[in-house]
Amino acid sequence: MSGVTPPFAELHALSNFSFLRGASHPEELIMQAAELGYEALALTDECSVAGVVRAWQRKRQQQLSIRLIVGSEFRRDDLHLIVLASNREGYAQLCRLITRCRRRAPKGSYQLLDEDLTPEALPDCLALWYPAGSTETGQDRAAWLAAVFPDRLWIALRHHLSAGDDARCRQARQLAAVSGLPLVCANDVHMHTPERQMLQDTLTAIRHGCTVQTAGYHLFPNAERHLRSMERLHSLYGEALLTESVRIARRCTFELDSLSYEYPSELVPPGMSAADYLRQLTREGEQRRYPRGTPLPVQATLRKELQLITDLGYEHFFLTIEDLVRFARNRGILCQGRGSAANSAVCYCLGITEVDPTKATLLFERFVSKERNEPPDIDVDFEHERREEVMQYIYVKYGRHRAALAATVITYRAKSAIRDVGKALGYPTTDLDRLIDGLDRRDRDNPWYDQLQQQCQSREDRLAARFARLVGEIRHFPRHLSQHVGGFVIAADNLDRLVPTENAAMAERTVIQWDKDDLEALGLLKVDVLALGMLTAIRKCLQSLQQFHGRPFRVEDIPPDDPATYRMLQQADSVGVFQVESRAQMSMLPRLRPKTFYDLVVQIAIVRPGPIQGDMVHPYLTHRQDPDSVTYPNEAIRKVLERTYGVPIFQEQVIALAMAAAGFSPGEADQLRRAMASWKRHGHMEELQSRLIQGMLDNGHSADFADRLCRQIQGFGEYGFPESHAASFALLAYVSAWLKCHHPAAFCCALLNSQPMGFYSPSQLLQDLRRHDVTLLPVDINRSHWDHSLEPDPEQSSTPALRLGFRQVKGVNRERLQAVLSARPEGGFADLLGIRRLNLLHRSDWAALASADALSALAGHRYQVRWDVMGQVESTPLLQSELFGEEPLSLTAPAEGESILEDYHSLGLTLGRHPLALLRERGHLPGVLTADSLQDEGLSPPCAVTVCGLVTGRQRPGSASGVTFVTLEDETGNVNVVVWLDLARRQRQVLLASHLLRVRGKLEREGDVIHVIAHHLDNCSAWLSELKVKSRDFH
Amino acid sequence: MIWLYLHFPALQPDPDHPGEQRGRLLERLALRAYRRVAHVALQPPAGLVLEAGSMWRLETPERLQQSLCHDLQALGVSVQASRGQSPLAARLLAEAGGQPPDLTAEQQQERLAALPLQACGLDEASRIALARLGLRTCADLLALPTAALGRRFGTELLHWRERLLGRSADPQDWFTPPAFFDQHQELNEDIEHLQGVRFPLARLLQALEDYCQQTQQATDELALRLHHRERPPTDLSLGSAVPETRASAWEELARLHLERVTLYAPVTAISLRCRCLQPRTAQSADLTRSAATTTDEPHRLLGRLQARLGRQALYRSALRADYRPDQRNGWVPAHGRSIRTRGMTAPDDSTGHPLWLLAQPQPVQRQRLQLLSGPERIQTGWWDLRGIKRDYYRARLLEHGLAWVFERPDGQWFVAGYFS
Repeated sequence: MSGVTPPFAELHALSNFSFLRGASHPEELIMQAAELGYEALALTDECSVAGVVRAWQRKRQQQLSIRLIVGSEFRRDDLHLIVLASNREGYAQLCRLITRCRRRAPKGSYQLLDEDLTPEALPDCLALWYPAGSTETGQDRAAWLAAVFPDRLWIALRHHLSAGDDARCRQARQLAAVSGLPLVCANDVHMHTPERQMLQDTLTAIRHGCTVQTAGYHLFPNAERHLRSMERLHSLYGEALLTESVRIARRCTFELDSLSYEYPSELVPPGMSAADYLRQLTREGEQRRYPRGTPLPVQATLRKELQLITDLGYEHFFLTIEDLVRFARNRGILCQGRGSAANSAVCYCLGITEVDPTKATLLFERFVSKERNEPPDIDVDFEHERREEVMQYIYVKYGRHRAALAATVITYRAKSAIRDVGKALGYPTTDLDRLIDGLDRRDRDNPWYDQLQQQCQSREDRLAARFARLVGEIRHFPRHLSQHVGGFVIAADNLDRLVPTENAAMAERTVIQWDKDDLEALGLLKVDVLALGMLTAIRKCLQSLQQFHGRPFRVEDIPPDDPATYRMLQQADSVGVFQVESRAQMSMLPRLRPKTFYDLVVQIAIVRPGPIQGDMVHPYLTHRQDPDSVTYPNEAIRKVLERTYGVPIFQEQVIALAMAAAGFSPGEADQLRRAMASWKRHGHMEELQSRLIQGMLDNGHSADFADRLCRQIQGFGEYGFPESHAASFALLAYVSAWLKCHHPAAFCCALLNSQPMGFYSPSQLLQDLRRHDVTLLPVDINRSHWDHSLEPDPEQSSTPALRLGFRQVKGVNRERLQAVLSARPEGGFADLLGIRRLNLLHRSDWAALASADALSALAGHRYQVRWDVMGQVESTPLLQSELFGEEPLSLTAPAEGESILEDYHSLGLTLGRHPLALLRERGHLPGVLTADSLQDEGLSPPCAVTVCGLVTGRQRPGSASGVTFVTLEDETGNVNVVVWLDLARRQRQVLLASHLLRVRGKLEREGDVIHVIAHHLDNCSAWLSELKVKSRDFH
Repeated sequence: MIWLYLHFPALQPDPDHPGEQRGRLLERLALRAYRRVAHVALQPPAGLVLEAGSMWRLETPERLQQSLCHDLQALGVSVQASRGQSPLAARLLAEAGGQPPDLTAEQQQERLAALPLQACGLDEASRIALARLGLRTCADLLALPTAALGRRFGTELLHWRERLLGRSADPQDWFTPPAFFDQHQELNEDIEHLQGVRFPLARLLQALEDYCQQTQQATDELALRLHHRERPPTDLSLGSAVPETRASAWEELARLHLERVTLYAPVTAISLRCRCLQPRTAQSADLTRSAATTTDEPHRLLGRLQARLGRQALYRSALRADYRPDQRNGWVPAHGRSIRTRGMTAPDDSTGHPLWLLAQPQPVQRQRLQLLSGPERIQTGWWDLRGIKRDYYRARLLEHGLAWVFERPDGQWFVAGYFS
């Protein structure tokens, strides 16, 4: 930076949040501008402020002295305007303007009307105008704009060394002279360095849907639209214009940190203060939770928490959430808080969370702390089928002008990057698809981008190398804003004073222009209204038990610490149980053998890619065997790690360790946690890691210990679990396990009625239920309801039978069928005519029912019934086929195999024999072992085996070095097959396409867990002919 | 009517190479069959239907099937053939592996009945619907009462059944061989100078004109072959800019073309062949027109130039939307389609550019330049190997007046063009 050139402020810059125009991230722009010695930079994305928080955060992190000005660009055929916010009010006015422009246009676009620009609308904003067209129209326009922005309007000059720039600048000066408006220079910045020109051209081509070769004059003629050096600018514009830019910049004093969150205040009853009301509600909650008196430690915690809440002024926040949760409970909607909120005793008393402070160690600092100066993060799970009710409640109570969803920024990933860039460079789509298929995006050792670079380097043409580079640059670039799943922002008054809102893709939904990271960075309140399928299932199960047994049944009635439940879990009998039903979890249950609630908490947290990679499971198990053998370097560390036998498993422990072992302050420790959580935003894990190691060494720990701890923390990277979160989930896991253990039919029924959810398909859930000796009853026109239901089992009294419901039948219409069911007489319909007379069903409904064999009680076998109903004439139900002189035709009944096929076709499952039983009977499977026989004592693994089954699961967890886990189902149960990477590559087609798979391999046993390592795969799907069983492919 | 179906397994579309064109092959096979049977219909992608009843007196269907298959197999084409009571029946039986030539009617019925519905050419939806009633073979389908079947599946399936049984008409699209002109003229004496070719050629061209008149067709390409004794023939390709019928026009083109040819052996015969006949578009005759029409001129000139110089030698200018001055003025082959690029509207800044650009920029010394205006920076074109980064200026060049010059990043200066 030289003292010769006058100071300068760039007042017109676009980041990549001006989608497909800007070629640099907001962070890059602010850094470069600071580097060049600009006094200020205005980030003026097109009708948007989506990028400002990121720029501001980087500025804060790097402690840059450059000032950031917030503004926005508006373009129309006849008008090109930059609007800058000069103060807080100006910022609100700008947000209001952006909102108005966006809300009247479809998603992703905006419309600026003349009536938006009035003196009353933008009194605290400054405007820069690029005149265009002839001098006469220019004068009229100038006069109008000057009236809208008196003393706040400038004519902007820009020069990019293009052919017409000199003439345009002359014209602009003339206009300024004639109209009396002041002049300033601005540079229409699209990128931070000229090196981004290729990318900027590519973005232009993508935007116009053509290639760079044919984009012609849509591209810019040179790379001048970057942040240029002050010397350059001086020689181009002269001192006066530069000085003017600074004068404008100094009139803009708005800082993003001045945005403070204003809580909705109507929740507090008149005459009370928020603090008092909160205290009152908490006390009421205490009485509910601890009817025999609040334990002393909890009392102390409550006092501490309430004090802190008052000190930091968060009362309204808690009250808002309490109100929401109370609404849900009054409506009978199950809900539960999760995340760090579960660390709070106040939340427990208010009913926001269910984690009892006496049952788990809570780290309140994880939730709220003085140093952090940001509001707590409370996520609440609601029943997934009823979440919409909760969201509507928010909109109705606060109004659409005060509540909106947070945004999610959809960015370029591997596939979209390769496709869009490739097309823009003129590569044919087939080549690109092949390229994408050839990349292994799961490969941890060789990230896909490196693979791409290698492939491009080996090609001859120069363009390929550029292609690779462009794909690398466009990665993580925003493409558009989408609505966040459930993060609501609720403001005290108009939300658009805080941030603009725009239309989301869903009707009636609006979205703010910031995402949750932006909100967190600014300390703004967000309530996460999430959906959880298991809550729906639990409620439905309790409801059906209530109905069936005729007495009330609530979550509170479920006894804790039930040994039978834990025994069931120890045997990995956990299909359908929340969080512990996956293949990975099941294989871990017999090893970890949970027998207390806390064991369950650990189980949930530990079986994740993070801990498995961080090498935590084995030491945990070994130490648990012999807790006394564990040594701790000092007392502080012991306190942190004792409850997990010396192995760090939870996020809170890592934070506590960073403080205890490496001397991190709470603030620094929190930074570490944050870096772990938001890895995707170019986190500085490496820097923190080295500080951690240094800190530990400084504190006298061995390099070995430091290294081991670091590796374990690295494993946390993306998947570390907060203890409180695991505890909230463990509650649901326990409840669902208890229900499965003691009321398997009701529980399975509820799971089936809450689909889609969970890990297993209805077919698998029913197979499991059957193996627990529950009778399954088919869909019956005279017995079934729309939902699956329970019926007394005539054969046994210990458990009801499960009657399949009509919802399982493919192709039947819900309204029409429910109309029929409401007209169904007490004892059922006597014959088909009775139903036909109602004239409610269409031919397609009839055909669907016939194929599901639901009409067999009234008519013949399904082929016959299907034939008969197909012959019906739609509008004349009373006339039978005989009247047309049609000879009744008698079709042969389906054979067993055909029946089973029809079952799968129409229901997606079968209550008949499993197809494998038939195949085995017919001699197709010589030498093939059944799933349960693998557990036989007679077999001594490791040994060679052949197994065969329907492929019901294919899973390739990213961490496990390219291995694929396949689940095969036969008539006796499930087999876990392990397919290593080289076999998967060799027999890729067979692995991916088989419905029925035969595997030759090696049986291995580890304790109670067995699996088969595959050596060779055979696709036997042809035996099933038309059978289609969809496997849930998890990736 | 006696139906025969020929199925060529090799012509079945290959799932790994979709879109591969095999239509011409089928046509050639049809042509082959056409020599023996008057009624041939193509059933793309891989079959032919023949009606053999009309040939009965010349050849029995058994013999016909036998000899046709023999013929085709000699060509190296594998074929599965069958007779049938209807074109559809014959097709299904042929596709199922072919049947012996002496297939009796009962055997036919039997084998048809045994076919699974997958092999019956039904649409997938119907087939699945039938399967879901337990009906899986052709016999099952044939056994269903008509009214009942029609009620449930509609008339399409009924109609299919009737077609299969030969009970309803199945009109075919009979094959007609493509028209072409192919005439050969033996010469009484060997011709040793090309001049001598003109007379026999004129006669052939006249025959062509007559043929075109009769069939209302025209052509823009002729193949002329000059035969030699004991030497391979000389092949010439005559092209016209527009489809032409007049012998005089072709003579003219032929003359220009022949001027470029060197005879390396005496000519013993000539043949004229034309493959690409197109329907002739009528040209409105201008009553006032004189012998040489004005509208014809450009085309005729183009045709003559092409004939004289060869097709590849003709180019026309085209403006490209490109900031790079060197790339903006381009030449494309005269026959090529113009590629419309996006962003064609140039910004109206090109007033500063001279009309006359040098083919290659000339290096020049900076001292000799007096810069008047600029720079205009043009930095683009990174996608082909002709990317540039240049600062252009208007400059006064000591002896040459006003020039358009540019500076490269390495400091070298060049003259790009001159202002007139």
